[in-house]
Amino acid sequence: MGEELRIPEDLARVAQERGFPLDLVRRALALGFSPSLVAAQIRAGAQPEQVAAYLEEQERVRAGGEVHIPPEVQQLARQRRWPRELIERAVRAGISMDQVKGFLESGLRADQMERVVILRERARERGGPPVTLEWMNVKTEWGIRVKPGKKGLTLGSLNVGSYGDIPDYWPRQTEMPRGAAPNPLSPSMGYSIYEKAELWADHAADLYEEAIQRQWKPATHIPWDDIPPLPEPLEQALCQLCTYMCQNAMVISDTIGKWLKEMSYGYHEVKVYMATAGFDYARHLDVFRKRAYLNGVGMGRQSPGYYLRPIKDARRWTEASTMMFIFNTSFLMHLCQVGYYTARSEGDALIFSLTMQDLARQTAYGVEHLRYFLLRKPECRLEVDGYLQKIEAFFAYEDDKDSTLQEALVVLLGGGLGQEELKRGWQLLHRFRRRWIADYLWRLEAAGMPERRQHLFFYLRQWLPQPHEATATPGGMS
Amino acid sequence: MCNAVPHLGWSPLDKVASMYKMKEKPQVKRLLRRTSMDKDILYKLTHDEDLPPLRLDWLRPEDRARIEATRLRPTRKGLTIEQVEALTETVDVSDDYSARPKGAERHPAAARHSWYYPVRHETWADNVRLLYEEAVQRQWSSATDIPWHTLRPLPDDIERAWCQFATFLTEVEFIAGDAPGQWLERINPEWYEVKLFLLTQIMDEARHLDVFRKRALANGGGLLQESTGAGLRIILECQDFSEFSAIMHVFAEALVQTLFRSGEALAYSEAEKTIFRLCAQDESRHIAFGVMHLKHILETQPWRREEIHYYLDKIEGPLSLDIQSGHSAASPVFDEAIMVLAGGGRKNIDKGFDWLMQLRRRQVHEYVHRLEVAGLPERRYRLSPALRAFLET
Repeated sequence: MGEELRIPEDLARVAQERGFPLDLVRRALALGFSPSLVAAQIRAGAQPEQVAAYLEEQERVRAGGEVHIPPEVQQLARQRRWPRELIERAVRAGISMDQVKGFLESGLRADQMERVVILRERARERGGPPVTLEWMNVKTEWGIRVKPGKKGLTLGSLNVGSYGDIPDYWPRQTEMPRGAAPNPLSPSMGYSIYEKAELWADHAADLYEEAIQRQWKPATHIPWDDIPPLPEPLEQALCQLCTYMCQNAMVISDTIGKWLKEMSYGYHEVKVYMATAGFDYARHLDVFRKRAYLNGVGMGRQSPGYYLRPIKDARRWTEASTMMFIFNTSFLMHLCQVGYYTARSEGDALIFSLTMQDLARQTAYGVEHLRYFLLRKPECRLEVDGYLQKIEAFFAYEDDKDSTLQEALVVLLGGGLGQEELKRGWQLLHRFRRRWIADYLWRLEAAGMPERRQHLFFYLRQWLPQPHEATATPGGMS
Repeated sequence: MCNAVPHLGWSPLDKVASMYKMKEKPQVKRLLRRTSMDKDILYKLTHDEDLPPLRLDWLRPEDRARIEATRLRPTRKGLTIEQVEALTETVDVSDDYSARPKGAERHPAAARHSWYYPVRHETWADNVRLLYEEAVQRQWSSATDIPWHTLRPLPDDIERAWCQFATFLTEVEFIAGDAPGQWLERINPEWYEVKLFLLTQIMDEARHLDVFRKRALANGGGLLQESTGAGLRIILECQDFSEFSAIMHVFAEALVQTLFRSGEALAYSEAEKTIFRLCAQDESRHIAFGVMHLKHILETQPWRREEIHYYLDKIEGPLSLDIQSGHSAASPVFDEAIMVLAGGGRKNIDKGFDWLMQLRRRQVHEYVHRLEVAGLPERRYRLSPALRAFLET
C-alpha cells in the first residue's frame, strides 16, 4: 500500500462517523479518487456494498479487463449513436454503468457525454481541485479601509485612492468595476456611454444614498383611512390629476430603464442612482393609482401622450435627462404643488409632499448633470437649447390640444363647477404656472443656461415671470 | 398645514396690465425689450385670465354613485395593489400601444409609445402584485443596515478571497439591473404590475452592486480580478421576456440565491452574514417571479415547452462547469475565492473544494426543484451534462 494511501484525517473521521469501512476508502484512493470526492460520497450516504461492487468493477477494468456493457445499454447507445469506445472510456474514467445508462436515457448526445468523461478524467489526473490563485497577486490598490461616517458607510465615501479616480473616458466595455484588474477574456457588454461628461453629476452617489434613506411605502406610510372622498366634482378632478401622474411616471420609468444598459460600469454611481429614480416613479405610479381608486372613482382619461414622446425618443442621455429631470420634474412639481395646495386631508397632502421630495432629488441630478455637461462641452449649448425648445413645443402642443388636465386643475383649484369657482380656479392655475416657469428657468440658470429665458417657447411665455420675480423666488414653491 | 394657502405673492399680471397701459413710456419700452415680450404676447398676458370655454367632458356622472358605493380600507398590510385591482378587470389581450394607464379612458388620438406585448401571459406572473408590495416593504440600506463595525482584520489570504468574491459580485449583480430595464418599455401598461416589480428588482440589484463594493473596500483590502463574464452576456442578449426571465430569474439568480443562503460558511463577521441574509431575501423575490412566470407560460402557452428548454440549454452550457478549467466558465476566480473562504484559508483549499461541490449539488438540486414547481419536471433528465453530474451524486 505505501505512503500515498494514507487516509487523510478528515476523511478518516467522516468514514468513522458514518461507519464506512476504511478498507473501501483505501481502495477508492488507490484508484485515484480524490479524498474530497470520497468524503462527499460517504456524506451523501453511499452504501458500502454498492461501493464495494463499484470498486471491484473499476479495479477489474483498469487492470485491463473488458468492459461489460449490458444489452439494454448497448441498444440505447445504438439509438443515441454513441460509439462503444465512449462507454468504455466513461467506465474507465470512473463513471458507473448505471450512470452511463442514465445519461443515455436522458438523451445526451455523444459529444456531450464526451465532455462529461473529459471532466472526470481531468479531475482524476489532478487529484484535487485545479486552482491557480493568480487573482491573489493582481496589481490593484490594496489596504483600503473605509469607515462608516454619521450617515453610515456611503457609496461616495468609497471613492478613495485609485478607487476615487473617475476618468473622463472609461475605456472598458465590460462590467469591470472601477478599480479592479481587467480580464482580457471579458466580452463587451454593448454599452454606449463611455464619456463622463455624458452622464456624470458630482453628487450622484450622495443622491443615491439619500434616495435609499428616504424611501417611503405607499401601502403603509399614507394614512389611507383618513382620506375621505372630496366633494364632487373635486374627487373626480383629483383622480384625473392622479391619472396624469400615473401615466407620466410610467413613461419616465420606462425611459430610465431603457438607458440603464447604455451606461458603462465606470460610472456606477449614476447607474445606481438611476435605479433609485426608477423606483421612485414606481412608487408614484403605485400611490397615485391607489389614491384614484381609494374612493371608488378610479382612473380618469388618459393624456394623449404627445408631450412625453420626445422624452422617450431622445437619442442622447443628456437630452433625455434634461427633458425628464429639468422640464418634466419642474412640471410635475407644479402639479404636486396644486395637489398639495388643494389637499383637504393630511393623507392627500402627504402623498404630494412625498412625491415632491423625490422629484427634488431628480431635479438635483438633472441640473447638476447639465451643468457638468455644459462646462465640458460648451460647444453643445445650442444643441441642448434645441432639446429644450422641442420639449417646450411638445408640451404646448399637448396643452393646447387636450385640455383635460388643465380643466381638472381648474376645478380642483376653484373648488367646484360654478362660474365664479371656475374663474377663480383659472386664475389660480395661471399663478401656479407662473411659479412653475419661474422655477424651470431658475433651474436652467443654475445649470448654466440663463439665456433660455430669452428663448422660451412662445406658448410658455404667457407665464413668464418678470425678471425680479424670477430671482426673488428661486425655489419656486414656498 | 394642508389647507394653508401658500404665499403666492403679488400677481405680476397686474403689473403687466398696468405696464400695458403705459407702454409708450420710455422706461416701460426698455423693460419690454429686456424681457423679449412683443405686443402680441403682452396683449395675451393681459387678457388670458378670462375664463376660456371649458368642456369638462372628462367628468363622468356615474362616478358619483361609485364614490358613495366604494371605499377601500387598508388591511394590516396597508392599502395593497391587490385590493385596488380587485375593483378592476384584468384583460388578457390589449391592442393599445399608447401609454394609457390600466383602466383609464382611452383618448381617441393618443400617440403610440412603444410596441408592447399584446398578450398578458407573455409577461405575467400570478404573484407579481404580492412581490411588488413585499419588495417595497423590505427595502434596506447598505449604508446603515449592515453592522460594518463588526468587520475584523482577517488573514491576508482570507481577506483577498473575500475581496475577490466581492469583486465578482459587484461586477455581475447589476447585469440583473440592466437586463430588466430593457424590458420595461415592452410591457403593456395594462399589466403595469410587472413593470413595478421589475423596477423593484433594479433597485435591489443596485444595492447588491453597492454592498459588495463596500465590503471589498471596508476591511483593509480592495477590488481584485475582473471575471471572464462571458456567460452573463446571454442575459442581455435575450430577445423575449420569457427567455430573459427563465435565464435570469430561474437559472442565474437561483444559483446566486443558493450561494447567499449557504453563506454562513463564507462569512467571517456579522456584517457579512447580514449581507448574505438581506441579499438572499431580495433574490428570493426575483426567483419567485421567474418561477411563477414560467409556470404561467407553460399553463397558458403549452406549445412553448421546447422553446423554454432551448433557453435553458443555452444558459446551462456557459454557466456550468467548463471543459477547459473545471470551474464555472463565468467565474473561475469566483470559485477559487469560495474555496479559500470555505476552507478557512489557502492551505485548506481541499476542504473548500468539498464545500464548493456541496454547494453545486445544492444549487443544481434546488434549480431542478424549482423547475418542477414551474411545471418542467422533465428538465431533470435534460440537464447539461456537467450539471447533471451534480444531480447524480
